[in-house]
Amino acid sequence: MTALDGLLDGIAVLVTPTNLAAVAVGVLLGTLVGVLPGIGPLGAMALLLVGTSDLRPETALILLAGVYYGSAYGGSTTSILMGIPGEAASVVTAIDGHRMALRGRAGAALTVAAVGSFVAGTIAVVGVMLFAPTLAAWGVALGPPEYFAMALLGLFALSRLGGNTTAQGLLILGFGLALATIGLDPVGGVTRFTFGLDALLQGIGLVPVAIGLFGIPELLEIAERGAKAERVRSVRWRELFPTRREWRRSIPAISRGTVVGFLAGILPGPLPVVSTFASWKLEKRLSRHPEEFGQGAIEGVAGPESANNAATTGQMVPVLALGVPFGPATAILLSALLLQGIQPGPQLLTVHPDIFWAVIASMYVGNLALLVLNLPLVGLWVRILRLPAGVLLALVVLFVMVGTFADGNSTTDLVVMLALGAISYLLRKVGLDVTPIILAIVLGAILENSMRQSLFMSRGDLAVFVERPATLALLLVTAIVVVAPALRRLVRPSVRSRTGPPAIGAAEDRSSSIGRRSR
Amino acid sequence: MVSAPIAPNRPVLGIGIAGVVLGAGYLVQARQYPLGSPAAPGPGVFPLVVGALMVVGGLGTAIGALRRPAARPVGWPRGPALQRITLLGAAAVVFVVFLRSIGYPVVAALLAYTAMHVCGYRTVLARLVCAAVISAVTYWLLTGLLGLRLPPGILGG
Repeated sequence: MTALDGLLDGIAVLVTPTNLAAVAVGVLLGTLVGVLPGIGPLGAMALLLVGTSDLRPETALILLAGVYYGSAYGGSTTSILMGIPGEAASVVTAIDGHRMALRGRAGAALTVAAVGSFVAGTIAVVGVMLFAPTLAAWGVALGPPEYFAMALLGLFALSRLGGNTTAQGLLILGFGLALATIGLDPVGGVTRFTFGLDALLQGIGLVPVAIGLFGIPELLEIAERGAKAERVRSVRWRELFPTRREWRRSIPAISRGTVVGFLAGILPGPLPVVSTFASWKLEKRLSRHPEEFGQGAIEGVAGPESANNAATTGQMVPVLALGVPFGPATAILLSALLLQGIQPGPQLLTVHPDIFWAVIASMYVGNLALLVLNLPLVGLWVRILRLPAGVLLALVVLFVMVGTFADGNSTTDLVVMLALGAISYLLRKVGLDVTPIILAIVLGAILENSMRQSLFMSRGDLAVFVERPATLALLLVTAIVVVAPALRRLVRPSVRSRTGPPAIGAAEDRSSSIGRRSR
Repeated sequence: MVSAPIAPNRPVLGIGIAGVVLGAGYLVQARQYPLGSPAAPGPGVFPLVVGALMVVGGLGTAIGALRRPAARPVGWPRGPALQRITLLGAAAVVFVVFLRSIGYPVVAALLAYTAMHVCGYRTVLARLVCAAVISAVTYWLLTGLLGLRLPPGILGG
């Protein structure tokens, strides 16, 4: 059976009222939970999981997959409109997207995010369809030393985001990695740094960290300014469309973001989050206007959003082709199959091709549904800004608190969120960027796990990290990344290099979207 | 001509020192976990590396702060701004502490009222009414539609 034959069979399974309804409900619900800060896709998918046991297997997967990639788009909406990321992968979009909103280009940013997500998602689905077996096999061929080197490179390369010096980046990175070690040790199950608190056994959740680091400081700054209830200018229909110049700058970024995201998605680990940062850095490096990054560069929205959606779709490759979830969301997808009594794995394609291809077909339809449904709804999201500032702040604060609480039904998560929020607010005040913390939380377990597994494999011989070509290459690149700033200062001492945006919220002229002056 | 001494960047210096202290404390705790052997590294190895990273990063940050003045003065909140932040922060803490005992509807209304107060939203009565409505509507939306479990507290049953 060729891929095209499989896709046609999948479309035949998909085109039923129930399955089409599952697509629509899934993407709308996913967008909604993505828009609401704090209430993320994991919570929504976990809640829906219980209800999917009564559905057919393909319907259950279609519904949950719709929530999964729908939330990838929805998270960008809150990032752009309010500067508060709706989910961890939307953090980068908040950097430039929110700046565009403050300049009155919210509609353009949302449209570019929607179109970029659609294009990237659709191309990524083609990738899933055509290359799933080959790509999955390549990913499986990588071992712990390669994963260690990749995680190390990711952490050091992105630790200097925000203009932190090397020392500041190391300190903040170390803090994040320390947070990542709280809870059960990933290899031996030893409890570390829990200080007897059962609530910390499972470690620090990503949701309270993301909301605490990026959402709470925003809210504190609004309170600091005492934003008054002022009317926000309504966005006219034509303002929803990017200019020709904005499209010219966005299209290459969308293309590159798609590639970066898809490659990140097919590899193990929560790399969709990392891919958005990587895409942002790539676009800044390639841009003719790097000084605009952090101030509202449209490539800073187009690239990361495309990467996010492509990576989200790319993560379907290992879960469909191998039955191996490389992230918590895909683990929930797999759970849906197990609840149905279907054994996931490489045999899914041969034993249940109808399920495999129906899910892929639904991803085409789902991406189209996201574009068709969400572009008209952009005006609705933008109108949210017209609510009085006090009411908007009250709603956002409540959703943030509830979303964090609901993630684990734990007040400990709320304490973590508030504590990190206070720390982030203080650090931003003095000009430090806290983004490396969330990267460290995401990559910390991978880094430690792969380090220990590598040493297990080699019986303690450190040469395992230099004998393998891919590992050696990655470590050399990491070393270059670490020493390059110092070398640059030696060569050009009069120029202080800046490799990242101003720290989020640190610019004195930053104003919140809540309580904007009417024009 | 003698150049004036460089004024240290005190806030960043403080962060650097805090990083060193935190890293040192983290290292002390990390030493309690087994290191294992080179062939089977234990749960204490990675924390040792991380603790060292924090101490080194903290030292570097502190030294950098002594050598480089702040690019601009830090705009710490003062007066009314500080009061607003303190108020909102206190309301958030009350939300966390009393969520399970008093319940979501009451603590959410209090938090919503405080948020509207710091933004100077209309009158006290308007804020009270809006806070009650927001609390009730969000409770219904979140528990009824999304199926989240929120403690009803004293208004439950």
